[in-house]
Amino acid sequence: MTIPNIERAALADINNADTQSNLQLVRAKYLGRKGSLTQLRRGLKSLPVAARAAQGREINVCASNLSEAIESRMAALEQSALDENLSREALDVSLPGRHQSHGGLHPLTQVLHRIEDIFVGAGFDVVEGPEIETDYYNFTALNIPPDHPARAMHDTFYLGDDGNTEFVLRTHTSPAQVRTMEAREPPLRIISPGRVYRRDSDITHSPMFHQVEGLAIDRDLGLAHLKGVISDFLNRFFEMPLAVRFRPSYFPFTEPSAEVDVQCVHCKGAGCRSCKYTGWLEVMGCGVVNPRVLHMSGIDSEAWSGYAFGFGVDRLAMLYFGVADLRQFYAGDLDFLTQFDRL
Amino acid sequence: MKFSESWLRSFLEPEPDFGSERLADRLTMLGLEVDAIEPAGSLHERIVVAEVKSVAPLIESGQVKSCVLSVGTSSPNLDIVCAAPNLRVGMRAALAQVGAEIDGNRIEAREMHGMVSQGMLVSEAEIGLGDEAGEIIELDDSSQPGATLSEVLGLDDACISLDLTPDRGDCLGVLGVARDLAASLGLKLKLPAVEVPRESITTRMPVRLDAEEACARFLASVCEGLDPAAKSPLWLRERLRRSGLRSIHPAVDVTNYVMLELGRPLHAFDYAKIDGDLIVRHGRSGEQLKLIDGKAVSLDKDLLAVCDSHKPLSLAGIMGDAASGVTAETRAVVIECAWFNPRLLGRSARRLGIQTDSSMRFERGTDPALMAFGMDRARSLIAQVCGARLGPVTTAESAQHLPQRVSYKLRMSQVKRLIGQEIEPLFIENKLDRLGFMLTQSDEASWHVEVPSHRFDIEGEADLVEEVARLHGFGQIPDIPCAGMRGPSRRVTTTRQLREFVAALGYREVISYSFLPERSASMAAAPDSHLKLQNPMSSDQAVMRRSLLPGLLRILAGNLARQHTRARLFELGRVFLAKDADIEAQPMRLAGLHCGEQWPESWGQARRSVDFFDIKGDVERLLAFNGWEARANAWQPSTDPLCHPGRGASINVDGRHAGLVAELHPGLLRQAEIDKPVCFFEINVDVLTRRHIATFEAPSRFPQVRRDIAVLVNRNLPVCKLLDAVRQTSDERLREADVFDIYQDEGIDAHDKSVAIRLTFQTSGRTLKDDEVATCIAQILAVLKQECDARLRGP
Repeated sequence: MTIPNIERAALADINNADTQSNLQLVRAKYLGRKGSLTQLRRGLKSLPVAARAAQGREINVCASNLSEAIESRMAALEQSALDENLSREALDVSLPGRHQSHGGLHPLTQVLHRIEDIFVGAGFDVVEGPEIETDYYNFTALNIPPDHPARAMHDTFYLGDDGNTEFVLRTHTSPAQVRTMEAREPPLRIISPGRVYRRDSDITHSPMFHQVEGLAIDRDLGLAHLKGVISDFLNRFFEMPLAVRFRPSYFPFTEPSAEVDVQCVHCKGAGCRSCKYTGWLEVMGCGVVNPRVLHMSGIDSEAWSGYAFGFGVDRLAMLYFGVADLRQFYAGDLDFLTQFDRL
Repeated sequence: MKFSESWLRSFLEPEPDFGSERLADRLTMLGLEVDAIEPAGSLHERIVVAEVKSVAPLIESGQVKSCVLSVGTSSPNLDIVCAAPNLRVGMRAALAQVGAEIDGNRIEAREMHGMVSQGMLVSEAEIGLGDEAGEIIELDDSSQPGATLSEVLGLDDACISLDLTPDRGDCLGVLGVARDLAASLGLKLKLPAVEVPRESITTRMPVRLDAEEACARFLASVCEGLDPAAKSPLWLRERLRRSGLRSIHPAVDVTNYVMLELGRPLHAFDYAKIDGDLIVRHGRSGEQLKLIDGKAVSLDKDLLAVCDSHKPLSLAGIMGDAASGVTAETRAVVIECAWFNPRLLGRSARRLGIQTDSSMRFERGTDPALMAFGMDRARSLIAQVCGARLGPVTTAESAQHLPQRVSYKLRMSQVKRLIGQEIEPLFIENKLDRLGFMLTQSDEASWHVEVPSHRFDIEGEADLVEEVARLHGFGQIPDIPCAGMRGPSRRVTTTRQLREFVAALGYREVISYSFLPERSASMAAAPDSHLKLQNPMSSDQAVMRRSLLPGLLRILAGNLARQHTRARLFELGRVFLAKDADIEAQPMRLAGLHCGEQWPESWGQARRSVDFFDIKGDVERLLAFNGWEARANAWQPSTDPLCHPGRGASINVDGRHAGLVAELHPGLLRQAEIDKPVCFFEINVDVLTRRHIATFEAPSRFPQVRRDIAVLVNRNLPVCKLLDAVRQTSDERLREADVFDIYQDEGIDAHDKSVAIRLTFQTSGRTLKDDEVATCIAQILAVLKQECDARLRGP
């Protein structure tokens, strides 16, 4: 065969080689030890001297062309082999990943954290106290002496032996504030969140629920400061501007005292079932701290004044999430609890 | 701004009787922050003033001479060999006597050219007072022979460096600093006495302003007949040195001195280089300056230059041209004293990226009222130092472009409001007056205050109040506590973090009642151990819980009944441990349980039931999250009846009981009507929230060396005993020891198990050598053998 013919045949073989190993065979056939070009090269010495150089050059050019063609074909085959492998490794990326089940915080905890964030941002400190309290901290220190009619408002759980009235399950978190007033010097800004207990159970009452009570003591704090804090808090909590109304009321530990109504978050005051068509929701009690309470905690009521407020976390959570039955918070039904992760 | 303390004190009358530290403290508290106070220098006491009595050549050729020195009448004269060119009879020189130390080297009597020299006459360079190395120090004739040089030079002094805020350009001179200090201390401010010699020549330097906004006033004065031999006196050079400036040429030294003293920059031109009048104008394109520092600047219409009739001489207020500058050959100088617009000058300096002592002062504002005084101060000093004859001062001015005096109203009510404290009106009047403000009472409760020309930072009433507060002293203002500010309340932040962490581990938070039916309470504690409610609402809520387990199991059972097959639940809340009510015994607990399979049912994971090590892993992560590393935790088999026997552990953290981790006992589960295995943990929150602050150790840059060992031990030996023994060797090079394999099967005695331990060694200071590591391992194996009867397995 002539060299051009060899080259043509070889190029065709190279092109037709469909695997890397077939291509190796083609290389051997033309360029290997027994390959056609190698044979021709061996035959050079039998040629006339004059013809040798030209023929040699032609063989070399052909060999180099073929090598190049083989290299490039080899690269192409490698690439397509790799592509094929990779495509075999393809995954269904729509399948779910491996993981532990999703945990989550209880809706009351979520609401409590929201409340804490708002008040901590305003410079309030968070304090805690025991849930089993003494009669003194739960009542007397808050200007509710024994036999005071206000004790009836509280439906208290008593602990221990029958007739012993020293220990109670706290009916509000105010005792933690009394303990703080005793331990620290004013000025003070604190909130005390936590579990409280009252003998009451229906769809809006639970024998155990959560409260946040707030207390600020400083020079010249009064009702106006209180109103500002409460309105600002409620607007931030519900994330909408809501009218807030302060109604005169009575608590033994504040003077003056007020109940706070917020414009109904569901009907915006137009009237609906949630607000019993009044347009208002009662959300908390508050007032200017009674000087007697300051006095009992060792604070000079001439130099200092302050305000206090308290509200149910459960109540705010019900309004915030639109939960109708308070008792659901304590049943631990996963089908209920898991819904609050999506909010 | 750096200056000598004694210089500053010389402005005060009487001088304050307290030391450098209090002085510096006062400056700092005035808002002139002292960055450093360094000693002005220290010289050995045997370096003294000597009077040269006689000089004779010692060898015929060359400079070396012998001289006789007097160091006071009470001491014998000394023979000294010296080669300084300026040695002459009658001069007062500085002598390092035998025994003096210079840079730690003791001066000894030395034989030189056949004569014993009893000491060494020294140059400034030799004792670190300056650059002059060729000539010996020449002191004033008034210096008393025998006095220590330290005393004569007043080296019992300090160099004060101020880190000034950019608004206080007025304190870029000792005068300004002294003014604040005098006002603060209630002392009199004493200006240097200036006596200008009579003008003895008539040479006038005509000046003209062609850019009046940029340069509103320009004073010039010619001083002729500078003594070529004149040198700046030592006191002047010392003050420059203590301000960080070198002595260059007496005329230049004087301009620098006045700049440091008054904050008033000046410039000196060589009069011979000025061709025609002095003109302040903007540059023209094509004009070039080659500045003193060698930098070339091409002028344009935005750059201001001081020029003569033909060429620019200086970049106005920034730096002079080298060709017009003062040199050793200069015999007459022109002193420039100009007012440049701070804003425009600052713009040029920034554009060119040049900041000089002069430009820095012009940029911050210079006092136009101090120009004439500054000029006279410089002229008198040049006359004194260089023996120059003075010509008249010529002035060009555009009054409308000079800064105008401004006034503000200052109300007492505003002083009280912004400071938060009542300040005596008399105090306010007195202090502001001392600072140079002009006060006129406008009514009972306010003043009309005119700002002095040296202050460029007063832009309103609040700035005046700040002056009052500064002089009153920030330290004197009471702290009114910020209502309610407390440190982060650890407990609550941490319970929140705990909740969030456990939720992130995949547990779902529940809240259960703190009271329980007596029967389920008894699952987790002895029946009669609970605190009872006197008036429960129902028997379901009769006793206070001692553990979070019954509540969790009850919620779990409810969910299993509602077709859930697995659950991970947690609760954080108080338990009530005393049978009789007790305020103290109501700790916070964190408990979690896992029921059913370890993983949610998934295509990608093998199904298996949750086991002890799954829940232990969660607790270990929880402990680690709270900073308790594994070695602080001890796990011991628990005998609590809650636990599957052999699959429960009590945890001790840092030596304190922390809680329980267990697979629950099947009997208990049956009682709770749960038919799947449940793993459970309960931990005291107290232990978790008792965080310790980590101590930092720089990570080692050197490689870790890892070695694996496998040992055979009795199969009942707890692995923690093995690891404890390894750590007991307490070699600091051993960083970690981890179990990576347990094997008890074929090829091993039925009583044994093989434990494979990975040891990691590292040091912070170097790379460990192989034989060192081998020694460590041999030690560890020896201890393991002794403590645990552990035998190295295989080769």
